[in-house]
Amino acid sequence: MPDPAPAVIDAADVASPHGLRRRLVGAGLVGLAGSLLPGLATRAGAAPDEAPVRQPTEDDLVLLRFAQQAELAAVSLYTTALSTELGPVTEAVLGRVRDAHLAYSQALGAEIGRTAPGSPAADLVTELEPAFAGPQSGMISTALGLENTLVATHTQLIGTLRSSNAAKLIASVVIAESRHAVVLADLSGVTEVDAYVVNDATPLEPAEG
Amino acid sequence: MNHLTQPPHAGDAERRLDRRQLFRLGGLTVTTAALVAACGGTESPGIGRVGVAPTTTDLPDGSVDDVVLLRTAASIQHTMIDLYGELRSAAPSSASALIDLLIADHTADAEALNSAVAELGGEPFECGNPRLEELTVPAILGAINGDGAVAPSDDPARDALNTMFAMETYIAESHQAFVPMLSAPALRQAAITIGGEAARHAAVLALEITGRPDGYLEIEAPAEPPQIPTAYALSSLYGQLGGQTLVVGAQDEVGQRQNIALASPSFNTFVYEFTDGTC
Repeated sequence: MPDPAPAVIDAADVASPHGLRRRLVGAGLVGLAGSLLPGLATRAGAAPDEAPVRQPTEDDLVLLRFAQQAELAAVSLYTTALSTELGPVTEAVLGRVRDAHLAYSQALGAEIGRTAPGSPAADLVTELEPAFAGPQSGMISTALGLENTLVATHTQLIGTLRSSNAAKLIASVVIAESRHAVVLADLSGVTEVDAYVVNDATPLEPAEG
Repeated sequence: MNHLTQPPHAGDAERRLDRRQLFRLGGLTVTTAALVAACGGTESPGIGRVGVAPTTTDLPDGSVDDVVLLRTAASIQHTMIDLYGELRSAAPSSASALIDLLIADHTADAEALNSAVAELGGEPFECGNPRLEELTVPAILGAINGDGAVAPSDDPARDALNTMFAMETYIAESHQAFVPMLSAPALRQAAITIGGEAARHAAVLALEITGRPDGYLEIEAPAEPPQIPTAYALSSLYGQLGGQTLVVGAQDEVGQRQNIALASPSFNTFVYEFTDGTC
């Protein structure tokens, strides 16, 4: 399986010891809860800017703009893939996945409003476009890495966003993109059960500023 | 005779005086009643009763907070561990590694969720979800194994896998629904991590049930929907919150199978702090 670009996509090797993953999930939950306690303890007397909110805050909007650019990068990359010679099944799958990312970018744009960037993350497109334009086996593996990375990125965003509306939207995207990853894993020919369900991808980080 | 035009007699003047006295007495009565009411207790005796009746008990506080949501999530994981153990014998042997993985994942997630409950000051819940175990699980197992009035399934392996697919979709949907309900972003992240994992489980099960590539996605909708819904890995553009219907069991005399509605948890499914488990 070709190794997708480092730093951006780190999910090609999705198989990992299952016990390790479970420990990570468990430790993550406990750690998260532990880190919450001071905040929860002071919630009753919390300052207004720390209270849960429905609408995105200014900080949330920065993250949502970043998320929209990542989704639009995926649209661009799948459009590139669909312009190559593909089998009918692969074409149907990639077409559905492309349409899904387009829908997510539009929904994010609606949540952001007038300041929505409406343009893809150029560095992501530049880095992955050769693989998406290349042979099908490498393309599918890179697409799998991209989906896992987007899932990891959005999952991390949910842990940062204060707006419940924004978190609700991105949660529905995470569920769907997790399913994308399984189909792409199957198309790429993996056989280990863990390879379908484990996501060790490194989340994308928003650029400074 | 028009009495309005007649001069007043002495007796009339006495009667007017009597009325004034009556008005004074009435005013004094009203004032006294208001004073007594103002100085009395504020507790209402409630609805009047006739005879001897037992005293009522106040309902416990059923507020939904982070601890309740996490306890509910843990209870669902426990229900799946038990249910999949029951379904293992009916499932095809080709799915045994997958079932092992599902049970291991749900065990780890239940432990992690209960650890988070304890960290937040709540009491961990280590039993199955009471409502699911009272209504949903017996209905499913009854339809597959048969129970007196219902014949055993014509294809237990099919029903076992379809049940697991529906349940993983249910877990994904439930945790997606919990995200905006949880107050803290870190807990929302934990919930969607588990939800995303369940969505992957569901997609893998769809491939196991419907096959490859037929199980990837619905390319063309059939003119007549099948009685048992086809499982697809890519079932919708977004994660859904609208619930689903699990169809299991043998056909009855009119050709119908058992339909079991699975909707994301609501007030009757939450595991409140006063909810006791029985396991």
